[in-house]
Amino acid sequence: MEKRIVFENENGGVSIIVPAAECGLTIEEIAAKDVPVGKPYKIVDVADIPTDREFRNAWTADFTNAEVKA
Amino acid sequence: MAGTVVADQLEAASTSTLVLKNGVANTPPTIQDSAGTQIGTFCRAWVNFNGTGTVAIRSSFNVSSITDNGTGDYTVNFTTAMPDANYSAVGNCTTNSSFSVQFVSMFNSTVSNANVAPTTSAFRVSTRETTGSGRDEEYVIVSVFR
Repeated sequence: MEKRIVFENENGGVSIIVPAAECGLTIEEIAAKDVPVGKPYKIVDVADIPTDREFRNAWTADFTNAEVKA
Repeated sequence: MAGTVVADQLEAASTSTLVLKNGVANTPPTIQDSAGTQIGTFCRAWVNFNGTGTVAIRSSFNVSSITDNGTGDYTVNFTTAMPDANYSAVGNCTTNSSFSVQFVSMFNSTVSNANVAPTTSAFRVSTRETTGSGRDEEYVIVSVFR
């Protein structure tokens, strides 16, 4: 199952990390490297991300029990 | 072992890939003319991605991920960091005929509508209409030189 990493960005919106398949890193390694420090994040299935981007900047996410990038 | 090979052509054996390997970490080989003057460099990272629908990377080199920050607003994250933040990033994107001509803006965010200084590990890139509004595009292509 293809994965994405979701975190709350500096503007209060939601950012979604899209991994590069050719980089050779696991999704956990990419999260450790590319999620900003101090930000809660979740690894989700790509199917959980909406494909209708008309109101993309208004997207929200629930970060309850999320990992926090140290 | 240091040394010089003088040849007109380097050719890998069939089924092999030619490799140029530098002796200095995180420093690409240089291209010089007959006088030994550096006249070129290699691309250090590139990515081709779809910014519409399910945002996805088609192919890439030295890019661990892109971050979708909002409409037409992305961060390119390097697998191996640049030696400094003074690199050149160039890019282009397709244009949706339903909107005005679109362009790629480096080190800039459409969400915050402000410049974002590049770092050794990542930089911001945005796709915009000529009106200035962020706009997702099907093909976004970015390359980095240093």
